Amino acid sequence: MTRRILPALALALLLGSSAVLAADARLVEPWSQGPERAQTIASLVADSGLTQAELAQAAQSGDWRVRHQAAVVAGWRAHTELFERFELEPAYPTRAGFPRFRGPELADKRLAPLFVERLLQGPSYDMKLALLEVIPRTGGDFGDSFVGLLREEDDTRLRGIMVASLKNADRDATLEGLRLGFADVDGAVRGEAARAAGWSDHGSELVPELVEALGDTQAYTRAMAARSLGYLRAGQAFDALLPCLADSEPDVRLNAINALERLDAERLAARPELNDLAHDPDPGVVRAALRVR
Amino acid sequence: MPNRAHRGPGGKSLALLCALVLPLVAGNCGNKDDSGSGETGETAVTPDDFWDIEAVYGIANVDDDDGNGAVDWSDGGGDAENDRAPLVIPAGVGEVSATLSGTGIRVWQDGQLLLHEDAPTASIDATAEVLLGIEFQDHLTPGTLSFSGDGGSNDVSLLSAPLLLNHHLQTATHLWIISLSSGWYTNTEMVADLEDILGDAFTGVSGNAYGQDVWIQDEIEFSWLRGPDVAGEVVVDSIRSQNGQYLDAFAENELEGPDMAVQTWGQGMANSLDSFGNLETSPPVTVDGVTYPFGRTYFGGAGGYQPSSGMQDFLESQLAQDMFMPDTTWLCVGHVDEYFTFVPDGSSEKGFKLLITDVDAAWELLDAMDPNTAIPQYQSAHGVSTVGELTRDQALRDANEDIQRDHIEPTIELLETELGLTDDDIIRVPGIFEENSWCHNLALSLIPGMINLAVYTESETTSKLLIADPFLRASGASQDSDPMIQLWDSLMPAGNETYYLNDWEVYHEGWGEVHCGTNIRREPGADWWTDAQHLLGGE
Repeated sequence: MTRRILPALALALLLGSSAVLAADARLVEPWSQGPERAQTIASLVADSGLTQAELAQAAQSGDWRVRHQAAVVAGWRAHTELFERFELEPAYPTRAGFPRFRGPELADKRLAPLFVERLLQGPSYDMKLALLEVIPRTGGDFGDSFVGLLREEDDTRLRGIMVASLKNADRDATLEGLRLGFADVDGAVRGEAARAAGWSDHGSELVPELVEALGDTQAYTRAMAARSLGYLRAGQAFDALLPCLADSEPDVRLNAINALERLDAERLAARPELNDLAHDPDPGVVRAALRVR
Repeated sequence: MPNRAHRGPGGKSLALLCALVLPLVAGNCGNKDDSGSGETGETAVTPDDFWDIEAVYGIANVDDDDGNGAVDWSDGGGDAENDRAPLVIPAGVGEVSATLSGTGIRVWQDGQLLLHEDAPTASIDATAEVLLGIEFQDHLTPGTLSFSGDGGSNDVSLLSAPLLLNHHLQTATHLWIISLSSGWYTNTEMVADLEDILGDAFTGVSGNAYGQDVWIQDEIEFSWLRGPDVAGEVVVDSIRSQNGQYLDAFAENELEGPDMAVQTWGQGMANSLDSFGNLETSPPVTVDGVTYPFGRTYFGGAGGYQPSSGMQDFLESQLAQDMFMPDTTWLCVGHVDEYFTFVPDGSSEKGFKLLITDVDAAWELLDAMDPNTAIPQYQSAHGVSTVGELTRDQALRDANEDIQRDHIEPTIELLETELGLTDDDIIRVPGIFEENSWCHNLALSLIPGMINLAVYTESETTSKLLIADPFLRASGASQDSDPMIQLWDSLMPAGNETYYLNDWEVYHEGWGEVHCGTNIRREPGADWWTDAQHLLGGE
């Protein structure tokens, strides 16, 4: 019995996985980022050979690109009117200049794959910023796509924004994305990771990375790491933060005081470093030191 | 510019006032025509008075009274010209020699140019009364007009008015907004509310011609010029938008005309700090014994991130409103109107209160609310749908604590020092900020920036405060039930009527609020030539 069943099961699994692989291939080959994707997606949406079952299978793929395309094709099929409404939705200039999407309808998780798709279609730089900003606000899943995009993105600012957004993603995406951020070649992106960790529900799992970031070559990264350790109430980092009180950059010294105060104000108040900081050349540092002392 | 009926304190006519009080300041006392065009009339000034005249105060002739598209200084202004300060030489003075010193000043007689830089000396036959018109090219321009004749000699000081920016205690006369009425991106509700509140004193200008740019506060700043006998206004046009984009042409299209000039200072690529939501003026204050009768101007910035030096240099050159610079570089948009403002308070000695954002006041309010209170308005813009999602966010609390300690408290210290304020002059109003990754992690109002309000001053004791609706309540619930509104109403000084406007999608979600989206013209202030001499280098 077993001898008969096992080959049948293996065959079924093989057939099943082949179907999945076929669907995966159709969903990502050829893969590109640019305006030509609109036609590709339209073709997939119209492809009656690409079944809902295949899309459901593809949603479990190990490849984020497959998962994304499955989601956007399924979304177009299930929510055509909604997607048509937001396919070309404009963003309007904010008071700071660059554009932002507005309106209560944006809080709709079904829109997340559509906006990711618009991002992949290579809009203007300002529109990319606006899309990166609105995607988390939909409430939909975006961590998966952002982590994937983060690995491919050349632009430092866009990488930084993706890292910053990932603080609000699911746990796995948050941790993976922020760890990519901490390891980024660019200090600004590392700084975003250090900042975002302090805002994340999963930030306490990144305390080792934050402590290491206290020694980063970039002052912004050191300052944000210090701040986040305070936000996370990472008491174990108290001693690691102390050298930051003598950092060459005032913003690092200020954030270190604020962080140490949050970890243990009494212990900080007894530290001799505060005497020097009370005469610091930076008035903000002096104010903080006097407050604590 | 229009002739005005000059009345002195207690309703005395200016002729009487001139005769009794102001013999040393030339004016149109007794003249039937104060246009400076050269027409003469009966005068109360005697020949002896003439030799005692000390000064003539005028205004820069920067408007376009004849509407020919050229600034009047450049082409004489034609028959409609009315910006020359009159100086009467009474009948009987006889033959006098007149000599002009100073650049950017001209003297007219009977519509003819009499004295200027290239021809500074002339003889004047004042057997009959002569009316001279003193014209200035620019603001706060000094000069001297020297006379000598058989009756004596005299050096008359000439000075044009400083350009003075409005403050919130000056009576408002009109409010503008850019109206959007297509699709869902509209402010029709707010426009309708403002029409109800202000009636004819309100204009909504269609945004279609201005790229749907709603930030009218940032584009222009109303200011005023006055002399004893001449007056005008200047719309200071920011370098924020250029080359005809967005609101660049608003001032020229909608406001410019006789007695309303448009001028710009600064050049080059603007940054956000060049917007005029970042340029405000305090009410009149006295600081360490020095009175600033027209308030002090403040322009946000810090260190290497500042507004255009051209604009700053101009403001500093005007002296009377002695500019200072609060740090706004911690804010995403970076404007002073995002975290403090001034409202009238007729019951207080100073006549106003400083309102400044206080995050602790906001947390106190939020913590007192049921954490399950739904705030659906916040879902799409801020990703939170209940009060509890705000109050449980430790990082949000910490970030706001940092903002309060590191930025707002130092600003309070600065304002106390620069404006001579005490704690009694300050009302701390609730507000919290969020950091924005798309804006370099700088701060933006999370609860709508209610402090970013418009003050429509009606009298010394009454004003209308136009404030962003905080929507800290369930959908459909009335404003009366909103605890934030209740708290604000309890905090505002008597005499201020509060109106809470729905500015959410167009303004709040666009990172501005009611003040950013409105602009108010006001009545000019008092006599700078008597009240502000000590700031201009005089006594």
